[in-house]
Amino acid sequence: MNPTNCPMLKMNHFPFRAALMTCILTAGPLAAAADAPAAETPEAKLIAVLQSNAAPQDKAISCKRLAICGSKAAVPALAALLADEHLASWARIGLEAIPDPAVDAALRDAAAKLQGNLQISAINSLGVRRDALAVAWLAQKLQDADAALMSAAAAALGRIGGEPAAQALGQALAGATVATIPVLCEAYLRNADQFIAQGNHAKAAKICEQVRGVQTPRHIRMEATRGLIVARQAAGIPLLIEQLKSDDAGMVAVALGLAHDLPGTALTKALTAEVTHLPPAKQVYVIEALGVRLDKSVVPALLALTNNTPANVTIAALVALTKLGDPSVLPRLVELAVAPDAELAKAAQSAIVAFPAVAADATCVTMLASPDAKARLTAADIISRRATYSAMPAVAKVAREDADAAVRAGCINALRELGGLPDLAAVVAILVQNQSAAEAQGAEKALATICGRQADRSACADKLVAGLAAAQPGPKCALLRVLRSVADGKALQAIRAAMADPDKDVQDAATRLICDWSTAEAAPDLLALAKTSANPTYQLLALRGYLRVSGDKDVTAAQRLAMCKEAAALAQRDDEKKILLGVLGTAGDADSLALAAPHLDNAALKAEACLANVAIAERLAKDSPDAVLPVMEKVVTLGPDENLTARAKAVLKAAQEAAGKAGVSLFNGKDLSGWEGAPGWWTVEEGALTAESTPQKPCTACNYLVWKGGQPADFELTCDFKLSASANSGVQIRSETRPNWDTYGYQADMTGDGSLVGFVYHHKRGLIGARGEKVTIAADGKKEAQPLGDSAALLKSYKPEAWNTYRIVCRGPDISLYVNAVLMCQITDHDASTAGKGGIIALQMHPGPPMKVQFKNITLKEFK
Amino acid sequence: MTNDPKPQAPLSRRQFLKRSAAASSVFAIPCIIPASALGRGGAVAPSNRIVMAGIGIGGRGSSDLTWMMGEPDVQFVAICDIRKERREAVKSTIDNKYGTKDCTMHRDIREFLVERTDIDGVLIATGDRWHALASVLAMRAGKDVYSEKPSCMTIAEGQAVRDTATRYGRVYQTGTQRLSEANHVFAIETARSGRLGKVHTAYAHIAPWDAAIMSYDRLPAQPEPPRDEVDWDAWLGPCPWRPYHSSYVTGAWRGFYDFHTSCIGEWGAHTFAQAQAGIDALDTSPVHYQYVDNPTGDGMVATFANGVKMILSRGDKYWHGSCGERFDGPDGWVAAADGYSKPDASSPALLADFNKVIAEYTARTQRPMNHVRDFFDCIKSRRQTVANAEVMYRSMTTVHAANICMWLKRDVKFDPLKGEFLNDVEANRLCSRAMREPWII
Repeated sequence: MNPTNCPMLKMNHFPFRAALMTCILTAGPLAAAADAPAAETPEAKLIAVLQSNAAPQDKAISCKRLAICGSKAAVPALAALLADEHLASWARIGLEAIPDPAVDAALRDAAAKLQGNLQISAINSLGVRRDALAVAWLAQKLQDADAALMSAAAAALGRIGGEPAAQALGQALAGATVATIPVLCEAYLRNADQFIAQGNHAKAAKICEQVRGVQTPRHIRMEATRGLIVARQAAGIPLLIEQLKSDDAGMVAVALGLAHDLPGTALTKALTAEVTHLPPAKQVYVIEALGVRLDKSVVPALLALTNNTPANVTIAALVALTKLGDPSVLPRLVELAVAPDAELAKAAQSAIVAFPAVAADATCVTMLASPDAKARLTAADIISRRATYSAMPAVAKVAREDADAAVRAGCINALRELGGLPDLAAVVAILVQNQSAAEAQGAEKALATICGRQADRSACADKLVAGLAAAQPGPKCALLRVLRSVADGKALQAIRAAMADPDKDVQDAATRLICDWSTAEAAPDLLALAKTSANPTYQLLALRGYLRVSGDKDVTAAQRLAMCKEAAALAQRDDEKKILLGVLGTAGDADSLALAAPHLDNAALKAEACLANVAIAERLAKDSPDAVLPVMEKVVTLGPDENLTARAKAVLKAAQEAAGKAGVSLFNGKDLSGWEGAPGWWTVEEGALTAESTPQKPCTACNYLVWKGGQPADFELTCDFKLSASANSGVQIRSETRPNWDTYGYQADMTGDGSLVGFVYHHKRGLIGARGEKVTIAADGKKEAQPLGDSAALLKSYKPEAWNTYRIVCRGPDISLYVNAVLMCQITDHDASTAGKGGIIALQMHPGPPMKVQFKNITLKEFK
Repeated sequence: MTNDPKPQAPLSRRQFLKRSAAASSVFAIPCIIPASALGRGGAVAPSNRIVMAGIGIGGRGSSDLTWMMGEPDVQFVAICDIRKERREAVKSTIDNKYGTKDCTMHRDIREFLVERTDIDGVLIATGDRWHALASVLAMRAGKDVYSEKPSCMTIAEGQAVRDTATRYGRVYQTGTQRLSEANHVFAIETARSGRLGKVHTAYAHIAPWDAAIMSYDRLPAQPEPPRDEVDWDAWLGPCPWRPYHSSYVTGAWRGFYDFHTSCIGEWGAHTFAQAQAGIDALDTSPVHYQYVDNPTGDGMVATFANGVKMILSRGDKYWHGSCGERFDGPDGWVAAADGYSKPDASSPALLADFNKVIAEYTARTQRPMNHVRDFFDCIKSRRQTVANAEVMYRSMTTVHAANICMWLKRDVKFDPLKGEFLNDVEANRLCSRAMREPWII
């Protein structure tokens, strides 16, 4: 936005505020601060608002905007508002942001003159602006009897800082009362903080010492102590340690906070020296802080604290040591990891798990070789939690050879979590060894998990197949199950071979696994089983499997259709037919529709058949509409459920459109090309064909705008129309022209109030079809009407004084009217003089009260 | 750095803060406290309980209150609220919990803080406009603070909260509780640990209602109720004056510049912290904000000094749920949001590490997966909380800078070391806002 176009002048107009805010935040380059701005700059306009009789709210927003673009020039107008109870807070938003020293002068002036809250208001701004020139005046106010004024002055001096302010505050503190001490200390310590920031530690220390010398509330003493320790730097460490030993939890908190935050090896040393002398409740927290300081010199002290200390101290030390990551601690961790105290042992185990040095990996392997079974078991658990991949060969060996079943199980579990291709052979061996059912189960689970992680499935299959020869039936079945999950060609081959295994159980397992195969590679096996197996269960499982793999993404459409045909011939029960329909629905093409459609006649399969046919038809509607149309009509007649019926209708519509001739647009949206009508009545407004009558220009006789492009008989005409409330109009179809821009014939009627919307009118016969009627007119003119719907309910789809869509379908003797896609009226006219004849299309302008009629998006689709 | 054998040059306070911030990779590695030392599990003697009070407890505050009162070592004893109805409702909640009549009620925050020296910490769940001011007042009075988000209205307020926490050595936690929820911790740690490769882009969810552009309108003036019922002057607090209308008080203050931090602050207060955590940027803010020409900031790219981008996103393109964040690296992506049972990731292999990642995080940080518990643990140990004042200041600075970018309708550049915009007088003038008298922080 060009700032000079800011709508500042429409001051009392409501949208002003929103617009002003936009201005605030899009103000152009900052006005040059030096000179008085020219009258038209944004700043000048804002100043003018402040000095006008504008509403307080508008002045408020102007203050806010001046915070961005205000300069010295804005100061007087803003400062004038410092005396205004409701606008002072706004004025200060502007003033505090303007960097010019004129602001400080104005604030000092206001602070001296104003009273009460408004005076405090100005003092606060002086503090925020850190105005050194205000110090002397503020210092006087430290003696003021008004507590609020005195407090504000102190707070401002605290922010302004520097020697003079500190001196004033220091003196005031010397003579302070219980009531004034907190606010003076707050300000004074803030000065100290600034001195530390400036590197003037000595001055800061003096302030903190003075505050500590005064009787203050505990939290102020805490702050002063904290400040003093920081200000004294290395020399403050003894004071810190003193607080650590204090009985006052607040002072301990000060020391602990600094133990975390203050850098330096000196402090680390001091804390290390002190920690052993503290009671356990404090030790825990100091140990924690030492861990954070990441200084390895503390390792011996912390290690000592893992011996003969209360459990919480030992644990805190373990955790801190872990963080430091010094490998010298590992032996102690291993020792504690198998300690009888469960809590301690758990903490030590977690410490090894999270230990940040690789040395811990070797520690795990060593632990795995321990003569103590408990240690070996613990090691296996730590290895899997720590993800020590390098330990896998050792783990595999122990998993096979250990005398202790629990240790073997722990190692198999670690293999399951971390094992890779090289470890497969060992796990296969464990499975084939078949020491116990539980162990075999663990090994099978591990194999499946490891194989699931591998990208090279073929290599996995090799390892598994290698185990088959020596395997007993039980383990063999387990290996086959894992091979099924690997699902590559070699695995399939192995399972196929196992179908002929001498052992019945292996045969059965292999057959069932092949029925459960996931890719089309097994399709020939499955089809053969489904066709020829003597076992009806296998037949059924194979047929289902066959159908399932036909959905495989690698199967071509032609193959899938062929497979569906095979399956269709075999499917006896509705259950399998449902699966077949599922496949057809998700993967079907043109020929599939022929396969799926007959199932619509099976009532038990209605839902699945409708779904499959609709799903197929949705993909075919455009390219094969003729195939789709009868099937979808049938689905709509069956009316499965609301959602599916709606989908079927949508497909039907799309197919109808694809089957029919594409529509042509009768109106170009710009001018009257292609149309002719009464001169002076029809124009194009807002992209619509428009006719309007007014009191000055009444319409006294009907006139029509006639399309000159043809006289169609069978067609679908759609157009959008919008009528003023009093309007009466209509779309003439199958009609003839008459002189003076009149016409004769059928009309899709309409009125602005909706009363005649959805009626068929005829110039000779009047309203021959009403909304909600299905009318048949016999050759002898005899009329018979049946209800189509409730007239009032149908009218609800019409939106008064808004755009609506008329769809007029003429085919042979039939004329159907739809408004906004809802069927309103249908006539079948056997009157030989009119029925089915072609004629002009025209739009009506009706006499009557002033009215406006508009039409656009007029599309004609002729039926062949 | 504590291994540095050379004598250390004296640190100025600014340097000290800077070093603390820069060293946050060291200092943020939190400390370890055994559960048994913290009073978790089992009864805690009343004398060892953390004494808490509520300040401004409405809808969100009530959830926090219930959450906090579930901790065995916590006892609420007072409520300070400018609305009588709320004072009484919260007193009743607290008294019912403990089966006593002991909870005291206070209207004036200053009197409350002076009188109740027995209180260790406060839960601040006022409207946004009061969060920073109440936090500073409470910390100055020696209280530790849990403040709901967004915890500051301007960049300057955020700095003041951070500086006050440092000066007074207070424990402070901002209510970005997702930093303590396993799904988000998983996403953050997955990104931080390099499992995605070097993360180049983070996405952060902004609220899908309201806009970055807010309103300066006023609701029509109504007569002010008696001060004891609703203290309107106190309700406005640091905000510039406007006439009373009851709707503000009952929650319709969102969407006004005076009271709200826009759709960006509404969720960005959470999600920017989440996103910055995953790219190790909780001690800094983006240096460049690219203006987007829409009302909400949707799609804004904020770039950090190291080139990592954070993109604001309003819809659910990058997650399914609310308050989401996502991290993209060359080796994959991970996303989390409310409403997930598990986070979302580019590969199941990443998700398979879920328990391991959480276990590693817990072992390393000893942080509970419970945001208020972390606050109470830290009150005892005096370590920094997971969402401490520095984290709040940095992530909220990102919120405010993004808002300022939207309000100025152009790109802005920010210098995180100086805490101000780079050669940009206009933007810098929006970093602070004068507080209405008598308030000053």
